[in-house]
Amino acid sequence: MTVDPDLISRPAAPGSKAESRSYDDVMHCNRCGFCTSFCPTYLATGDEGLSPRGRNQTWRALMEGRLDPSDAKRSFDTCLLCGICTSVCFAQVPTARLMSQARETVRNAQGAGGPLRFFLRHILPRPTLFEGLLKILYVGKKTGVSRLLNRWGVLRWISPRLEAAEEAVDRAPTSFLRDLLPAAEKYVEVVHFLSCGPNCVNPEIGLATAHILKVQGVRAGTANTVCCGLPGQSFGDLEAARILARKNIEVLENYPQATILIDDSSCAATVKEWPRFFEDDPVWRARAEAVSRRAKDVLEWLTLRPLDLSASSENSVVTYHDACKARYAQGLVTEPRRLLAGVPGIEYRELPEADQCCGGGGTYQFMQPEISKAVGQRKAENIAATGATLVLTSSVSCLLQLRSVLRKAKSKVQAFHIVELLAKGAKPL
Amino acid sequence: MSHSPFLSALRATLGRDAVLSGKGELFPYAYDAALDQRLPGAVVLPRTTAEVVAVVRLAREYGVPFAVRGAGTNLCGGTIVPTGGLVIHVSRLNRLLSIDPERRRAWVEPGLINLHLHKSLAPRGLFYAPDPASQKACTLGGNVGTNAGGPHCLKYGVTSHHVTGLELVLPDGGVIRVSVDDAGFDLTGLFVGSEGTLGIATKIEVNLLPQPEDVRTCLVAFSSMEAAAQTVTDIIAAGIVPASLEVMDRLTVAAVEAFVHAGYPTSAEAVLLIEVDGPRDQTIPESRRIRALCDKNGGTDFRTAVDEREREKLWEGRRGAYAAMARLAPNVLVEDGVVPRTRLPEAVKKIRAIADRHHLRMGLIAHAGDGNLHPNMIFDERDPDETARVLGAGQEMMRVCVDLGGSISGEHGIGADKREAMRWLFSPPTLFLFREIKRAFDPAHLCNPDKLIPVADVPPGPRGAGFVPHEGAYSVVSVDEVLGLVRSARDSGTALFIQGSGSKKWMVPDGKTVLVTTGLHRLVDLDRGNLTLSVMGGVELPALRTELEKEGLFLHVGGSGTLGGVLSTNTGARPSLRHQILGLKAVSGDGELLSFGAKVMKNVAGYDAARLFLGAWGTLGVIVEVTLRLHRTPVECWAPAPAGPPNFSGLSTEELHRKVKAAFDPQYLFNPTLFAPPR
Repeated sequence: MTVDPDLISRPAAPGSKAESRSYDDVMHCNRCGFCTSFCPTYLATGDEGLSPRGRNQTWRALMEGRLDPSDAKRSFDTCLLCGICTSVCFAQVPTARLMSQARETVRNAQGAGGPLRFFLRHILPRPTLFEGLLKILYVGKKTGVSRLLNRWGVLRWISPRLEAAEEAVDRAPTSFLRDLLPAAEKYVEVVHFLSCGPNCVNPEIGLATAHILKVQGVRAGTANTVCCGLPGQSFGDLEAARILARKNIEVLENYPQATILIDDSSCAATVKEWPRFFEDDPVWRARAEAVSRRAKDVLEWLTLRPLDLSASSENSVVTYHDACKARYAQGLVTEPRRLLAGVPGIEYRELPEADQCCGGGGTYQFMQPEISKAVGQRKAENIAATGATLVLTSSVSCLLQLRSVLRKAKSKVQAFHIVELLAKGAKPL
Repeated sequence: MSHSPFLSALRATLGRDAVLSGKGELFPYAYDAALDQRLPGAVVLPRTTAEVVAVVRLAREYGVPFAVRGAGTNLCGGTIVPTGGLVIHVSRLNRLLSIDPERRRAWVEPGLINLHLHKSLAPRGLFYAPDPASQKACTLGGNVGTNAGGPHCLKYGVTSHHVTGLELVLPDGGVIRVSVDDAGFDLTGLFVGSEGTLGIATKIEVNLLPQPEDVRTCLVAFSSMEAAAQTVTDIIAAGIVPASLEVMDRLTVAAVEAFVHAGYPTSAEAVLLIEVDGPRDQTIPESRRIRALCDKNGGTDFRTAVDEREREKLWEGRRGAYAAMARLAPNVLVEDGVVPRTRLPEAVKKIRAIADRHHLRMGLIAHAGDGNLHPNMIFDERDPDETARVLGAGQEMMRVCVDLGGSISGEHGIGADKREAMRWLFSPPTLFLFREIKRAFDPAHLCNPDKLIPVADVPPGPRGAGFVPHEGAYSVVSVDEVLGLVRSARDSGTALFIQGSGSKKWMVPDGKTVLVTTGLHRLVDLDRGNLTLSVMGGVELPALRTELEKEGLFLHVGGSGTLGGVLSTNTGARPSLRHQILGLKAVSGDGELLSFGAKVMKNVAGYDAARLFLGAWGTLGVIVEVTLRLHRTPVECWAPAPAGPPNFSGLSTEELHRKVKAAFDPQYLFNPTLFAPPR
């Protein structure tokens, strides 16, 4: 055995409690490498540094003082947080979770990300402010100003991320779900959680869910919730994630009996993960547990409360893309397939590599446009191979990415949220 | 180094996105699945053979040591370059190039993942046999480098049985194509298992098999490892060749069950996973007989997978055995030793004792049918004392395997970690030959330079000759007589013509010195339990076959004349002779006794130089002893009349052939009319 003297592994200097937990977890990566061939970013680039093993070992080396934060950053920032690696890892190393911590450690060490932190901690928790700003930006999109700026290369000149963002967001609704749906009364059966995707980008998804609830005869309404905290996790600002979670928990405690129904799987996974945000805070942990226990992904809800569906008039060939946050974070694999099997008049075809991330990853598609595009291309090819006319999924992040890659591939296949299809055929009981 | 001229040249050749150079980019290439960690100076991600050639030429120009890397799943530090060296990562060379269903062959690139090949072949009803436990991630190129095995090689053989052609980038940047169908030395066979020390495979032709009609997988528990091992011996002695025979001990089963829930019995001391495949009218009676043999040895909890899903589950348990140990501690050292099958219980006992003596936690799994053991020791590399104990224990375990007539690696390879242990297995002249082979391919010594062969010691000095050979025939009867004659020929510069039964007398010109091998006919070792035979090279095959058949033992080697003669000339034989040879001893042109292989079914220690003697027409040395597989069932052996000696001087790979020839026979002593010295 030969090891460079400065690469010899030694126990890490003590960090925060969260870092120590993360360190204990990463120690179980014994470098077998079985995860590499499943990782979308490794498959797209062939670079070990962009594989789960590379990320775990880099994180470990950083904590052990063998690497500097600036050296480690690339490996961490390129992770899609999809979680497929953990699903094939015998030691169950939670790489996606470790990467949130790793990003925070790097940002703290570098003292970077001031404006982003301000946005996450001070704007995002205030819906009036955040959604107001968004509507102003949407005016730019609606009037075509942003597209023009994009066509002239101005956005690219400022940042390729801006260009990617402009391309990905294909809708600019003037009314958000918050404006369109009624507020819940105290003893409603269901609180319809306002996930940012269905709320601010694709309200038609939320309306479809609301329609289904109405058909089911369920008393439901929205609450004054805010973003679930996922962006805080992704950007490595776990305090921002806690601020958002606490705010939501306080609001949702006002509806003590309600099921919290979430029609975006990324959001649902995060709400279910809230207790883990407070591992060092027993009081908030208990409150988070009480609320998270009531959270249901719309895929679960529909499996528990099946719909009576009339035959689809479109005679579509349908395929399904698993949102990673449904499949890996919540284990919802058979549920959507069972739901689709119950739709009369459609032909379902399984998507090759349905378990592979689409490369959306929330803001990833703007932050890492090149890798995102490469991962998405593979997804588009797989979709084309099915011959389907419709591809369904359960998260707006996936939906934006699927529509973007299908558009680029000049494909005729249309992408929708699964509730949009189900709402169409839902017959009143 | 980030601004060095070498890096600039790499970037200019490959483009920026294919060259990694910052510390953070390089660090993930400092490790593989073993313990070695050294930081390379650059990593390249080529997309074509031409790019590999360009990179190798640059490395040579700048004198930078380099190594090729696939998925980095290997367990012996084989892909770790010397600090500051160059890693050539072939992950982007990952295409399945073509499938020829008629000839059942496929061409692939080295970065193609083994499992992805399986998935592509399945719809065509075909499969590629070698399936190492790392199959989900490992690459075909890596499989070629290490001559990878896997649980199914008991029946189907290892990687070298299934690689039929290669496109190679040699360490000087030259590109050659070699094939097992070529005349001349078996360079394809030599390259497989050479751990990236002889060049880089950029295209690989593999042999495909039709999927068996039926597969039966069963699991059975035993109250002792000995009972499990006895069952294995009994099954094989009964003439059954299962696709696999895997054994796991209690600690391993506990670790696996905690994650996979495959339904393995956690209270048993040993669990045997047995799979038979083939046509249904064969698998049904076979699995019934296996059941009876398990019962006889006290097996309990016998169950057969009822469907594909259950079968997958049972296999997932076995494949995850190593990784599952990682749940118990940060590190797992997977040792890899091999012994004659019949010595398995003894080896297990001794290996357990070593682990106990060093106070180590160890799970044991084995490809029991092959005698290939994997002790998995768990530890924490941050504890230097525990790490040292694990490494020390590993060495002792390898020693045990060697002492029992086995080898230090059945399938993982030698790499950086077992180089020194090669001395236990090979004599100084054989190691010297390995260095000469390495030098033939890589005179600048840059291509994975610090692997496989231990650091040089003094070359064997010439030993006394004594006489000048006269014209005419010398009929030798012992290895010593061969050594004496060859040394005399060497010192006097006398050409030697090697003759067996005399069927090719036309080869020998008048007035020359002839070494007649028919006196070398002694049977050295017949191991009925292990099903191996060691016999001297001059033995007459028909007589040998008759003797063996009296005992119900069969050679799968056709042809008449001497064994040495058939091996040297009969390259077209079916089944292929190359799969029947486990070991070989020969006298080289230096007058040294070379010894390769052992009486074990799997062995990847050192270059597979024995195979070079097949089809060499006696131009590399005198075959004095051969170790062969024996079988319990006969097959039809087809041995066509030899097509005649190859025209060595007209081969497209003549230059390489001359270099290999010089490594064995620098003076062109043997059969010089067939392979004449350069003018």
